Amino acid sequence: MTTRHRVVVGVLVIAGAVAAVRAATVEHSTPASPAEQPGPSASADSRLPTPDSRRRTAWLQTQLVTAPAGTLITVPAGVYHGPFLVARSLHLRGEPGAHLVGDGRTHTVAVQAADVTLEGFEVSGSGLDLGKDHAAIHVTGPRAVIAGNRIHDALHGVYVRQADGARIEGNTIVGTETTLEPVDPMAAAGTPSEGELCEVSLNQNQRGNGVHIWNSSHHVVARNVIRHTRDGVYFSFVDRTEVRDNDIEGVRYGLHYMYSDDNRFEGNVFRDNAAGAAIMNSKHLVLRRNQFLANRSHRAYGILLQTVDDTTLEENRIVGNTIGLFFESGHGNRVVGNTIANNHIGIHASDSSDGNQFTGNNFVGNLHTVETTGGNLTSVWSVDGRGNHWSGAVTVDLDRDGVADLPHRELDLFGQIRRDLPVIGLLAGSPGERLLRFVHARIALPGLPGVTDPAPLVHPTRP
Amino acid sequence: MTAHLSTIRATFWREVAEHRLNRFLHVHLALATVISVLPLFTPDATERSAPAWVLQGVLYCLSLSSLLLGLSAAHGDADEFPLLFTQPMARGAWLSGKVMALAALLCPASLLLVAPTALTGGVSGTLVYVAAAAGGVCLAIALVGLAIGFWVRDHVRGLLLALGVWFGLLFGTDLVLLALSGAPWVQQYPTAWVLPLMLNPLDALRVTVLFGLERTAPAGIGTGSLVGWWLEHGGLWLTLMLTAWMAAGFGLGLVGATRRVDG
Repeated sequence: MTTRHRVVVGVLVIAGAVAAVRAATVEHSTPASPAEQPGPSASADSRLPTPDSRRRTAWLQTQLVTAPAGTLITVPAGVYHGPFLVARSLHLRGEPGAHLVGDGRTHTVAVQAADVTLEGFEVSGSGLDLGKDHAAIHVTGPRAVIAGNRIHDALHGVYVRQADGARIEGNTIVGTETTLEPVDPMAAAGTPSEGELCEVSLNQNQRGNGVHIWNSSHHVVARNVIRHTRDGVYFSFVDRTEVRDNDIEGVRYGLHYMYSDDNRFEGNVFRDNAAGAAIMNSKHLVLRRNQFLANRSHRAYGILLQTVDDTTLEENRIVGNTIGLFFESGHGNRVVGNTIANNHIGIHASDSSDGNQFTGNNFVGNLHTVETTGGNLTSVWSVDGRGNHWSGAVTVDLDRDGVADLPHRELDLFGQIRRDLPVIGLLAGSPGERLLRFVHARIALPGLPGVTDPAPLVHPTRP
Repeated sequence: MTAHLSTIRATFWREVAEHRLNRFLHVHLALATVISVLPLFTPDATERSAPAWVLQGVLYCLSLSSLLLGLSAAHGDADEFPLLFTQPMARGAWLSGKVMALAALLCPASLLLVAPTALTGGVSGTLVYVAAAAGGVCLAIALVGLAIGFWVRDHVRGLLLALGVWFGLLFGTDLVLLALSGAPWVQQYPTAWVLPLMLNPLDALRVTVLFGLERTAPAGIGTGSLVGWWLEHGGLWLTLMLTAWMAAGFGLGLVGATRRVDG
């Protein structure tokens, strides 16, 4: 490039920046022409500011401060070095390649104003301090829309704190699995150079959550893809919220949830996590058509419900988990039409749970179908003459109404002994245990714990 | 040494030739073939379901056919013992030839168990592991059958004893352990309770595949040091334990074979 060309390009760039600032002052401005906007990133390493990125960042920061409320700001491709504070009701739309990078000390983007939209960005580089809840996108303003962003190398992905009505949709959030730390923290003074850093793995407890929402209500969390964070979606004191069609894999708890009422979870997939969903101290929930798949480890659950009341679990697929459905202190819940299959333990119902209804569920191929810790006397296994489908059950159906004429006794052979001799679990699925179960299904052996379905279904129900 | 090798070689080929007409081998191979294609009926989870099918197949079918195959291998020569043992050959070498022939028949059968899955989905470490474990268990059980056959040379009695041993291995250990599990002294010494499971090849295979390979055991199970070690090193334990069973089967068979022919 000749000197003359450089001068021309420089003039164009400056003119573009000025024009962009002016254009952004117009409400709902259309994107400026390419010549008027800052150019795309020339830097491969987004961590290091370049003259180009400084110029772009200055432009964006100016927009954030000067643009009137309601302005649509289209942010062209390129790296922008934050942190960024959105204190006005703006609509920020990132063109493909627009990358917001934090300084590694605080949130990359802090949304404080109401009615802010942030869409289409790549966002990374937040601080990693769990005590300060650092996040790629930290929302404290109501009715924020966070959509279509790709978030990585951050602590929490999207953190909503005491702000109602957020819509978090279509984002891809990848957790931080490693971080760069000084080889010798004592020797490193100031900012260490690249050679003085080494990659350190973060264990799952040191990572942030994909979507973290606290003390607020009326949100929509939908169609997000979340991988390798601590928890996929974390709720605490969050009411009247909809969580649907999210795809969460490789995290600790797909859904970690407590003290939150009147929420709906539909069509989500929780796969290969330490636990699919851990829901505690909540009521009036609906979990419908979710999939809890292959959540396996020594402490894994498909769904863990602890002190959850008046909740409906309907048509979920709970397949291949260590414990499919874990109930503790649950009251008045309805478990309807779910497929609980190929789990190590299909369902664990503690004696502290009562008044729950199980109907139309398919129990198929579980190593140990039902585990109880007591009588479960007030829980019912059929409603209106329809029970559940149990694979391997004796099903005599002379009147061909689809409901077996004989009750099904699902044996929990280990019962209380499990507490005193946990290794008895090694006999789950053993030929001896199956033999006894086979006999018990035909002749009720006295004194053995288990559940009785008075109206077992001959055929599985379709979720 | 050369004489021993000649004996082993001769016995090996004689045994292989005899087994070509052995109905227990035909049944074993037919069962292995049926089991091997079952995972293909779940096309979206063929590789994942193959270990479960192989496990169930070995537990309920192939263990019995292997046992009967070993028994018939011993009984097949019973009528010829007076002639055979007048020959100048070491009985250890002769028995080694028979064992090698059984291994040569059973090990390919265990590969057959996973062959369709491997052909459709590719060879994986899990499949190799499961096939090796299945082959080892079948061979160990076959050697038990061989030993039974040498000790109980009457065909009917031998068959009844073999069936009794099979029931004992398959159901007996579990039922006895279940019956004992409520006893306070058992709960005080869970390691003693676990040992029979560890020493039973069928239970060891089941626990290794279900709990070790798939790692689905709930947390409480692995808290004891011995069980924790077992779940962590299931393959190593299975190898050691099956080797011990094979050695014991071989030794008992050898002692049985050296008993008086008219005894």
